[in-house]
Amino acid sequence: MCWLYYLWTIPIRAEQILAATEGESTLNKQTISSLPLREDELRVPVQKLFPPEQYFCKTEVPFGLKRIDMLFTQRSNGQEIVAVELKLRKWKKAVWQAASNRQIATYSYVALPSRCAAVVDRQLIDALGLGLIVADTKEQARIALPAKRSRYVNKRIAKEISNLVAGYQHV
Amino acid sequence: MFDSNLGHYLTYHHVSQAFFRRYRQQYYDGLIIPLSVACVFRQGTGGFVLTLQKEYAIDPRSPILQADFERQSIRRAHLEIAEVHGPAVSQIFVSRPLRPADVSPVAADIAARVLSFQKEFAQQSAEKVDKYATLLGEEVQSQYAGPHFLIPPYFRSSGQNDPWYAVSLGLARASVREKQDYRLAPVLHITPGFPENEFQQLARDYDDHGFDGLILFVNDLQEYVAPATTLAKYARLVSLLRGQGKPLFGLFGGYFTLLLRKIGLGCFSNAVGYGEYRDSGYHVGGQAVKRYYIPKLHRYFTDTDAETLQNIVGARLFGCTCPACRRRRPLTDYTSQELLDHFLNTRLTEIQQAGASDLSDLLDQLDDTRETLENYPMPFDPCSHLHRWVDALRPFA
Repeated sequence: MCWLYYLWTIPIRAEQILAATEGESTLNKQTISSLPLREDELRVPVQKLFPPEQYFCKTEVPFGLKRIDMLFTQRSNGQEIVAVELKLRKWKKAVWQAASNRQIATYSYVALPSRCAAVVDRQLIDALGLGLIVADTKEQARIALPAKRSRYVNKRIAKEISNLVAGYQHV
Repeated sequence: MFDSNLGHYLTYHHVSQAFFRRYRQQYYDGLIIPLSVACVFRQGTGGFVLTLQKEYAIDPRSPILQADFERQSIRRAHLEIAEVHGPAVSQIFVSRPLRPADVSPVAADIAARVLSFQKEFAQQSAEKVDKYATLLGEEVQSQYAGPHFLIPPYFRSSGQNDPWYAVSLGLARASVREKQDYRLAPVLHITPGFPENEFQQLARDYDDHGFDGLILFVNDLQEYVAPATTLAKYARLVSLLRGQGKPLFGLFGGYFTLLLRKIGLGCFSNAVGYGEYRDSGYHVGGQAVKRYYIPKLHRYFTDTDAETLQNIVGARLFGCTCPACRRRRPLTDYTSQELLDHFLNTRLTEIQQAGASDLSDLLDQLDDTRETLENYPMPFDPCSHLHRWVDALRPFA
């Protein structure tokens, strides 16, 4: 349990995990170093799920008093908007933000590293209509729970944000 | 405060003039004018407030003078407040915060100056009454009434050993000599940590024939964040002071303060849309955030959070039928004016409902809301404050 606790609490280096577990961690050094340890390290694997050929992407998109970590708008028609909230820990905070994002996104996801995703309340995420993206490594992520289409999209704000994202790509 | 036993006052600010004009008849009983606003926008405030012909009082906002912040952050409003408190204060304030020893020797002079400002406000601030009388459709009066009651200068104290406690009491007593025919209501401005075992002495100290009422101001008491123990302590103070039989006024408060009226608080005030709590040392201005007051939860949320909650719970439980909300649309589409209108409509309903129910019923309603919300998927508990309010007030029900 000790090594798991360390993984859970703070982003640390593989050497520290192995030292803390006195070499008993079942994760080898290579596996540990491939895990996302900073929030921005989740971006690359998530972006691969929404490839640039199909989606415009903008990060840190202002919405209300907060910022949406990643926002994708479909290139073909601009109608579909996907919001992704990245978090290493404190998944409840991410879930709340993702629930808010349903006001402007057609589909809203929470993206977590696999170690955090293992402890989230999937029923809650599902009940809120959110999707779950699990990042297994710094390079690879998968949709573990598909998001449901939002019934709460505010078309006015969604259009403003969609234009912002598309405009940003054309600069 | 003295004529309407359960009155609702609003803190005046010139940016909300349209609101005060529109709702003056029904939605509030009086105005608390911050001294800063009364000074910086003196003629505009005077012209507007006087022609409204509502009860008003001027809050000296003295605690900003004891606040320790960088002197380069001093704003014009602070300087004007210091100026009204007299040269002994204004000369020190520009270079450092006031200390108790600065005030004590000149307490009588400070009290006289601050009260003079209040007493003379109507005469000195009536240059624009013509303009506002036209705007409000009122006739220009030959003379306008002074404040409904006077508020002595006051400072924040954390207990009886805090030197500011004696300074405030001294200012209040010195004010008695200056009140003339006016009613006088000193402010008991304490921190949330003020020791409860000193409440009896506090009550005795302020049991003075010269005080016609008392104003309670617990610094920065955020009702929906404060622990039940702090809220219960506040309630016990209200209950204790009520024993003096004088009108009690809560200077800032939300729904919890409204419920305190069931145990002896009379009037209370809040700002339009904001100001259910205040840190008296807060010296920085800020931009208004759009907030929606959820009636069932009796508290504000940002408009985006409120919309999210409403999406989860549904309009049936969180919906509002006030005139501002009649047209269904996302809460994030409300204008700032509509958000304010909604809040005041809701506050009026809350006051009416609280007046018609006993405390036990009102607490049961809060419990019901909490139990209902347990059935909804929530990553956090949006009504933990209701639980604390019930815990704090149940012993009085």
